[in-house]
Amino acid sequence: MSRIQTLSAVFLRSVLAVMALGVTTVHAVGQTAARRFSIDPCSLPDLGFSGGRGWVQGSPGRYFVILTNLSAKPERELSVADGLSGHKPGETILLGIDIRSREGERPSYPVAVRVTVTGGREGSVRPAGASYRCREIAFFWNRRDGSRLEPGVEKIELTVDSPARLAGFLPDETVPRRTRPLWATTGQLRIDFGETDAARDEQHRDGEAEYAIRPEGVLAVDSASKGIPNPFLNIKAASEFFGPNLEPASFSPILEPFRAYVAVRNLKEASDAIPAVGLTRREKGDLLTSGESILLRRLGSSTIFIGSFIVLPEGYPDSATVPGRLLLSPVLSVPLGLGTIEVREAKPD
Amino acid sequence: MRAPILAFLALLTGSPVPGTTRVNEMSGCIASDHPICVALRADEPKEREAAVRQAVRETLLSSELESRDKAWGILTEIFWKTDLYPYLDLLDAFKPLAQKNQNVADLADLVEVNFAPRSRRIELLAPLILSGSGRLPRGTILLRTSAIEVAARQGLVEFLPAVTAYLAVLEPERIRARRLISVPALFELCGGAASRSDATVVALRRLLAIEERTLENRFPADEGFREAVFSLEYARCPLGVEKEPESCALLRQIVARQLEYRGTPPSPAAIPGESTDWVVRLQEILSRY
Repeated sequence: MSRIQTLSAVFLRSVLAVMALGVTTVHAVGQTAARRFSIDPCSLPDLGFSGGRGWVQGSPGRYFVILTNLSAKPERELSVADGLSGHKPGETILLGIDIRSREGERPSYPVAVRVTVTGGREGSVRPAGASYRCREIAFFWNRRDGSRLEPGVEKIELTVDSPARLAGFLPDETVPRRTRPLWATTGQLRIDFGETDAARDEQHRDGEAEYAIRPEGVLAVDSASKGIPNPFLNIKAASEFFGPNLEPASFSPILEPFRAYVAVRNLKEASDAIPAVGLTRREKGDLLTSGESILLRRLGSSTIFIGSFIVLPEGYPDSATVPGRLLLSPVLSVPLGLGTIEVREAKPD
Repeated sequence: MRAPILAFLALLTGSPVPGTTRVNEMSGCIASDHPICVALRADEPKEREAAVRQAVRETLLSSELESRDKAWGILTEIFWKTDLYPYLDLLDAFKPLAQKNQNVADLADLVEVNFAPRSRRIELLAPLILSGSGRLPRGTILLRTSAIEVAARQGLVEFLPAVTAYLAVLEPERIRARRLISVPALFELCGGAASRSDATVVALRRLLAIEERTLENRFPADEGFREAVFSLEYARCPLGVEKEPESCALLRQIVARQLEYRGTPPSPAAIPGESTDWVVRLQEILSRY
């Protein structure tokens, strides 16, 4: 290759490299009559995040996100394991985003947040009060104003727009032999957040959280009619495990907490609840979780008993404070029910 | 209100023919006797275009690898400042002959986005600027920030409201980090330019229309304005040539007028390019070649 060609190639590459740094892809939805030269508000302000995934990379980060459903009465904090439920397709929900340390302090630096709706059909998100709808938004949760930090966008609106899908029925936790529907996950609301450095135009991902969106449908008058899913139909005496949507469970890898279920058939039990304990083991067989209480409740008037628990990746911050949690190795493929998770009937004292 | 402003800007700018860059405006060809460079030196635009087409055909599309490589080397040196749009079909035709490291698609895309007719450039830049996503026709990725700068430098004021909205949500530090600080001033100065090639002339005409006192105040106070003026694509301004580029004549007028206004000659900078005196910086641009 000639010297001119080499230099030219280097020059062209450097020009293109400058131009090709970090492309953000964003989409506006529902904007049919946008003016020809109007900027897509969903695409502002072009914030990319770098850095590893929080705790998995071994850097738990000092801060975490707290998502509160401000449309619920009373308002309630959402858990990553259970996600967002109780809203019908088409409803727009006001959500509060807070970022706190374990000591309850706000970050002492400017924070950028990116919220993404994934899966589903037409679900959308926007800063509270905005008139547009986006699949993804990024914004400044707070901003530096001189030496002070001013609040930025702290509330967003999520429009649930996927048709509801019934996963099955579970025992009601409050009234014995009553059942309640479990609506399946149709999409996710993902939140990434981290310190933003305006002078370097960089965002470091300090943490993330993903919440399942479970739109609630309308039950047919006759719940026993055909088409109602019954994942527990063929349950035997040996316990079986089910995933967040009551699908036969096999989870890998485990990155976020989620709720799982265990079902067992017991023909002899007269009461409506069976105390049980859950145990998990690492791959080599040593105990990871020992004796976590799980209450198995009778499903309607059947001989099937169902309990639920939260599966947490080992090392997840604050995992000790999560009730009914079972820890599992986060990155390995862990087929449930093969000795890695066990649920045993609790022996009376 | 915007339409009359755009019409006024269009009237101001005239309409140069695309593909009219002459060789004295391109650094990559100055000392070269490559057939493409020789052809680019022709005075008459139509004659020049025909000659360049023939030279590109005979070299870039030659059956000999060495000839193609040399032609490619010349084109990649000059494409940034030279209007190669009239030869885009020949660049595309070179693609099957190109070697792996000769990224024809990227070069052709950049030629098109910089030198295509105005309406085509707007069409290409619109998705990149308005939604921040998309690619140029042959797949080249152009960042939104780069697309904004290209639009501002070409005076595509149709994008001004969108770019203003974009900048409004960013902190000043972030605007600086994204190298967009000069963008509002570039739109102001180059607004309505018919082509990238004539944007500098348009900008210098506007600069000349600003009164001396205002310039004396604005240059030190307005970093974006200052950077916009210094970053314009200046032609070579050799002394003693019969017909120098219009941008050189305008630049000389601006400098001379300002020196007359001041009454005292400026102190030359110890290190070229480091002077804090904007008139000295413009003088340096004039005497750069």
